[in-house]
Amino acid sequence: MITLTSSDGVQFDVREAVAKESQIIRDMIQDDCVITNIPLANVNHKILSIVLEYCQMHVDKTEMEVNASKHQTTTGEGSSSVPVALKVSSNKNLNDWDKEFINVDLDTLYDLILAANYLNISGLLNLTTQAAADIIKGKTTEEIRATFNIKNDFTPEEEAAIRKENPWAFE
Amino acid sequence: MATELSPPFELQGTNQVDWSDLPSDLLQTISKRLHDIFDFTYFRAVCKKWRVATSISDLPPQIPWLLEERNNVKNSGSENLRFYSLFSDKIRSIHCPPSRGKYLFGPSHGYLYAANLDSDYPTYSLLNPLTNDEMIINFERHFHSFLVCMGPDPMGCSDDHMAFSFLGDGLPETIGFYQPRNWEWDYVQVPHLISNSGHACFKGIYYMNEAGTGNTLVVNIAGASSISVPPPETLYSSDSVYFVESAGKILRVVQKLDLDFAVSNSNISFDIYQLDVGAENHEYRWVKTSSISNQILFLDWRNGISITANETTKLMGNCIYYLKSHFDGLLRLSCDVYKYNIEDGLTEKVPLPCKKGDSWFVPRV
Repeated sequence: MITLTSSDGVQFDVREAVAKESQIIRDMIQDDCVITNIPLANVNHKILSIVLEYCQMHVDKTEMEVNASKHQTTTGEGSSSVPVALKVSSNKNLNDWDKEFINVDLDTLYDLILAANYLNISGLLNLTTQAAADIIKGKTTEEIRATFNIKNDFTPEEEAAIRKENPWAFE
Repeated sequence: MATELSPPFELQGTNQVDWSDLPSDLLQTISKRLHDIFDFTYFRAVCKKWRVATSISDLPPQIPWLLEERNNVKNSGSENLRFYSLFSDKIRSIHCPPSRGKYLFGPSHGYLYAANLDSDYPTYSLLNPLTNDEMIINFERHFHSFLVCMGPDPMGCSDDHMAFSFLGDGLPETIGFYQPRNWEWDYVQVPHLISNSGHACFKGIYYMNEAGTGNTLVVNIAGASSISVPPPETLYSSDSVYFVESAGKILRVVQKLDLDFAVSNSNISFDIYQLDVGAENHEYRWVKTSSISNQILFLDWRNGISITANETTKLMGNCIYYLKSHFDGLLRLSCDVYKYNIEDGLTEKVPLPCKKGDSWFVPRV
């Protein structure tokens, strides 16, 4: 087990495999094999718990698939240690789980993007940036600003120049 | 004097995030997933930080738009074009004055083929509907001609020709190949009468399905040399042949109509072959293939283009999007888009918010 400490001082004890979903933690563990406590200065406990939920699910899913294939080749052993609840969820498509998982408010999504980037969890970074792109898709500039609560900081002259550059998009 | 507006009190909480402050590499990661030029352009116009994080040259690979058919092109006087974006599920309306009175043809990247038939002196051009850039095609001989096929990117840098058939030549037939980027013409005589489908130009090579024999004529345009590749199987008169360049390979796509079904609900399937050069040189043959992996083909009535799918494009690879027309109860022709899944051979109708599709177009500025 490894202890991860959030920026606001909350400790999470997780299996090494789960923590190693993060490339940055994987590198730390490889560099120093006696490491047991990793402080994460940029992730608060609320976001870290969500990130770890993601990592846990993806590690479990991978291990279950490995166990399932072991079970198929060496009949009668291997799969007995997999909890029933996880077996059930393993049948559900992981993509469906991801889709449900990423259905969060925009503040949380923003923090998850930063956390996935900081911890270097490529699957979570793909999932979160794709979720942001999906929200942007099909919206006009004004609609994007309103959705993400972004202030238009262009001067009227700059905005006119942007429109003139791509008249097909703004007329 | 301009005063900085302070945000409302409720926005000043410590948990409030500011999306304009997202690091630029992460903004780039998000913008790379916008496979519609409108989405990408709107993204870049949100605020200064989002704009400087990206450059117009970072435009992600585009998912084709469906060009909506226009009614009464000659007389409507309309200067607007409508496209349906499969990626964004939006209609993209574009004001394009040069399109007025012209028939437009794809499928293509960047430029549509535009034909103005509204006079005794028809004019032909390549038209970029976004920039309104228009390149007039100057015919150096033969007045009456019609477009046989157009390379997928006629104004791109891959030597894609446009092929025109010239009437009044008799047999054997002359095909003129036009290279829009350098305004050069080449002429090649082909042995058989041409049919409406089964022509394509890619990278200086012309592929033609010979009506009757089913042979594929492969013509090196600049060298004016050609070879004939025998058909891999018997073609039926109801089959349509397409040649599509897909991920560097030349595909022969045969659209098969199963006439056992009622005409109103006829079943369409596809056989796909890949041009194989063979162990010894010049022994070309068609080899049947069961998958085009992560490619998606977009076919219109005569030609096709290929796009690479990935996890961000939303559209699944190994599929064919094609158009099919049918008469509704009032004998009006309508047109639907179908998606054929190559892996399981299943077809599904793609729901469209527009009336009639005409061809495919990949926008570019």
